[in-house]
Amino acid sequence: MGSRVAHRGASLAAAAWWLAAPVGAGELALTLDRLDAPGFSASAIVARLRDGAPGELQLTIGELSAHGKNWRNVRVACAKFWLERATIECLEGEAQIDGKIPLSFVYAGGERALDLTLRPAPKETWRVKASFAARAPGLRVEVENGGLARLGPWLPPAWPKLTAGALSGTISLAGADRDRLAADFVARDAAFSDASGLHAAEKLSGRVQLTAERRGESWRYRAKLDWDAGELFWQPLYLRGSGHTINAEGTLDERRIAITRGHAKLAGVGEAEASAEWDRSANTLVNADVRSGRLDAAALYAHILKPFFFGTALGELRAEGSAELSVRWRGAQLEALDVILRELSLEDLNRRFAVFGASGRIPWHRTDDTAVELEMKGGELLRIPFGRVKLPLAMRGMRFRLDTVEVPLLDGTLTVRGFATEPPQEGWRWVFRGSIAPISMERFTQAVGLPTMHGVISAEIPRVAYARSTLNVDGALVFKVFDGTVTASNLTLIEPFGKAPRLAADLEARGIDLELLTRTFSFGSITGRVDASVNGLELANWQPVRFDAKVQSSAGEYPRKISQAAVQNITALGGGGAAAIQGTLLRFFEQFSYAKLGLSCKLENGVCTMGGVEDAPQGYVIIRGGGVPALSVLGYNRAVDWRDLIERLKRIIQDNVPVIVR
Amino acid sequence: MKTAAFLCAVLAAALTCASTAHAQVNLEINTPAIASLQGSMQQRHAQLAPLYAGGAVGLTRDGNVALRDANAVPLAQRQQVNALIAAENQDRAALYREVARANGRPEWEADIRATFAQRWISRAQPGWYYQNPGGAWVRK
Repeated sequence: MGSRVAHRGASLAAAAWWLAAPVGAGELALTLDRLDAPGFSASAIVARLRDGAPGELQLTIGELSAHGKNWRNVRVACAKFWLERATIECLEGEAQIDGKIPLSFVYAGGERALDLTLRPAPKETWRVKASFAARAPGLRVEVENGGLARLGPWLPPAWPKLTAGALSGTISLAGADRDRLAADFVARDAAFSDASGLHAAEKLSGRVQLTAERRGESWRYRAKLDWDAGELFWQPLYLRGSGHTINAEGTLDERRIAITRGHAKLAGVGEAEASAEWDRSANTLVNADVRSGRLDAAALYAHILKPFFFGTALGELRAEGSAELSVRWRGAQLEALDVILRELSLEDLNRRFAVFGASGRIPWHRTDDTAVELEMKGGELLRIPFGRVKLPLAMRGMRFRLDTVEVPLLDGTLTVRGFATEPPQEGWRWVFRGSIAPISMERFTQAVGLPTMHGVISAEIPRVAYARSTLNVDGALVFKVFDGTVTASNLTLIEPFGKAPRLAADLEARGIDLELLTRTFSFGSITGRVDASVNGLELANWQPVRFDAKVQSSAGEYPRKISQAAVQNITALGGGGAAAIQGTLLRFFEQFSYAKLGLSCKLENGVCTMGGVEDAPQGYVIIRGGGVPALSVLGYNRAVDWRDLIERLKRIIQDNVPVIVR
Repeated sequence: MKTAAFLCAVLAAALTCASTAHAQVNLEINTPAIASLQGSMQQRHAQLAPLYAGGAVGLTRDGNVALRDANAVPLAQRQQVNALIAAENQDRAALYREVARANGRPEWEADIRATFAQRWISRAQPGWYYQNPGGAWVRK
């Protein structure tokens, strides 16, 4: 006994009708070519029903598709099946669809209500209650320990894939047009990842609450997210911990997603309120306003900002203090940013720069004139400390101007005048003029880790310009040291905050008092004066790479004496060549007279090519004797390894022990 | 012409290039800056080597390193790997620049980078990933 019913474009209600049709005794087989409903279609449907109390149902669906997903040869079997006038009930059922899923359902024909329970795993339940009644249609899904991975096929393919975790909670869709949505879920140990692993989470636990109501074409929603545990990596951010929350309400339609009121709390960092408007077709943030409360600078830097600065000078900082941010984003670009700082300290872990105790307000606007009120208690630049500074910076877009600022630098003052930046093209560009009021050499040499020297540094700087990562200083820095002057000119600093900063300069020294110099360096004593030049000096990573240096006695009349210790040290520096002490008796003298001394070193490729006052057979004269007792020192090594030379010099200076020359 | 002279310079270690004898680039040149960069890279290598071996990080055709497969690294360490890669690439960029400058040929930086890129790849251990000239990842 059989019948053939052909349906085209049937509704779910029609499907219910044929199931509810009365059947006789024995076995009934029904076939249905095709069944369609919005978002759902089934074809090649065969139902076999063995009569009894209870009866038995075998249903096969050749092809089933729902919400864009397709299955073939879906089978549903019910070991206990009742088909009555008003109810259809299936107990001990089993569906074969991506594996075997135990199920049961009851369909009440009068209310046109379906109650379906799926138990795909022990302790896992998905209960679907659907009402097809025209006056009160509704759908409610109750989940207990639902495997999150099962949702995979239902989510957009571009989303990261859910791989683990359990879901418990309810989602319901109610209203005549299914226009009221409510969901309340707790997720436990959720994990997801995209193919690249750049957007992934593990052991994520939390609660999602959502209500939404349709008004015309758009949905009005209210959402709350509580993050209780787990870790999330969303390139480049990594977040973990508990107590983070997001609350948002707003509207959603085909065109845009709007947050009219949002609040986010990142435990340990702080809280912020926000509103925003996202254009879905253009995938852009059109407008947004964010106002934060007091944010902990250390946590804000460590958890949020740091990964964005990896590989830059700001990539390894120690931060302290707090900040408040206010952001205005209009027409898909930043319009205004207002930052309030309280006792903010930032310190580069590589000790290239530091700012301590900065407080004030930075109200930036893209097109309007604004003024910074910022004061810092001090800081450090390339290991040179500076004191309390006020920065009355004037801003307009990416142009910044400073009138005159006095920066306490060690025990002197650096005055910066007319600081101005250009909008960044190929990096930042800025200029200023300035001057350095006397800074003591004692403080300066201690700060940069040199042996303590006496004297002062002062300078008038016509122009300092920074462009393409290079700092150029016009004019000359004058150091008054050892009773003479050292002038540094053509000063260029390439990538001052880079991995291998490079400095180039020319130095000229006049009338340096050797007695003061040699006392400083524990070199043995020399009385006299020298002039020196270091041309084409190049330092890489603050170490000399290249220069052409000459030191020699200044012209003029002055006492010229040298101690035996100094003679031996100079001889050692001359490349280990033998000292030509004229007669062994001379070693009984503490001091000698000389007419002229000089030494030159042209450094290139790690080798210092040396010379002296004048050439001598097989070498050069470092000290030419004169007076009584007279003494000459000759050098024989023309090429000396720079590192050896420095090692020798260090030994002489540090150990205060003369190098023994044999 | 520039490239020809540069190649000649690289070959100069083994061969003689009479025509451009003055243009020699010494890739083994040592300055304090280069030594400090190499030291910093060597120190980092202990952390990078297992990432190369695991396929998480590979050698790019332009002389850098890049994240190839974040899935090969536990979630909590992925950000740290990003930091390592950024720091390594910063050192490498500085190294290429320094080698060029130390040779008195700052304009050859790009060629020096390309030569180093090939060198890193040829010295890579079996199992490490590198980018072929087309940009695709290849397992050595």
